[in-house]
Amino acid sequence: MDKRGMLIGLPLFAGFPAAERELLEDVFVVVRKRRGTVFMKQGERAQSARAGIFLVLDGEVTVSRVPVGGGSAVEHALGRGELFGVVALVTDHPRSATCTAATDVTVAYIDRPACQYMHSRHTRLAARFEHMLARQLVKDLRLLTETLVGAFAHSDPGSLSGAVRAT
Amino acid sequence: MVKTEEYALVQGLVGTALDRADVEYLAERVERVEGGPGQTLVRRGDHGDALYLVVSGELAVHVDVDGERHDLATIGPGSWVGELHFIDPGPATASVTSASDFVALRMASGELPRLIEDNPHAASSLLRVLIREVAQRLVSAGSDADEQRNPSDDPHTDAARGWWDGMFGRLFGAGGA
Repeated sequence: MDKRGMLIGLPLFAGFPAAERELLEDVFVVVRKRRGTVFMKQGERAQSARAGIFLVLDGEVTVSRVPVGGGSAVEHALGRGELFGVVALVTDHPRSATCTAATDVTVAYIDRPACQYMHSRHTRLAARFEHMLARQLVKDLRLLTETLVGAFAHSDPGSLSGAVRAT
Repeated sequence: MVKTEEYALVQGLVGTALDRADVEYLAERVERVEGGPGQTLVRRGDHGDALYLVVSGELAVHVDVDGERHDLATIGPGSWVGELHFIDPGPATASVTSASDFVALRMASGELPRLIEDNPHAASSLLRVLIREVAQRLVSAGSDADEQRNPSDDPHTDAARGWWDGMFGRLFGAGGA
């Protein structure tokens, strides 16, 4: 599959009208990176212009997070169609995890200026894209809420270990 | 004709993030609702029917486990209710019941796809506000969860309760928009 097909064929964009899917090429940059490439480091503050969202198109990215309270790193893998970098883009908080290419990977990238461009030139696409981002964040917040509420109601704070999934 | 009261409320609560045209458009699509104590706006496990932005009053966020009610947080003016379902339809993670007289702005939960089609600029502006809200809660409650890793800390002791109160306040957006 070519780079263009990898991007616009993602299930994440399946609900987008075909004409809008075509515009995604206008705002995303698709790049290949070698295994071991570090996309972002936990604790770094993304410079606002460089902050951006990554979408895995092919390969695997490891998300590694050392809990704030200490302890060993918690890892999970991201594959095709999964996002990272969203929270730092919208909150200006320091990166919550380190993201490293676990294999050679192809990723699509959109930075803050490109988001602004999409908002001003392709506003409906921007709204649809933001709705998709919001849904991803809601899924993570629901998961975190269920874990926290469960730990509280069942007096089991130990179950919080590893509960936080960086986005 | 702009709905003057709703316009002023939207402007006052989230207006700094929206331009005038967006505020006018959204003001046309919300209704002002009010009620007394004991009214449940969202029930844990149910699919909510609306997004609410609290204008005044206090509401309790709570869950019922094994027949016992656990109050998790108190939210007030500027807080959202039903925002997760508005963005991504699914069962509510907690119940929200008014603890006093309250006023809120209400928008039907099926409005978002229509907003995106009819006025993508206003939809995008509203989504940006909600995305920041959800991301902020994810980060702050997530950081709290990272710190609370000692299994011997029973959350229902007085010593531990302050931490849980603070964390749930941040998790459910008690600070307001």
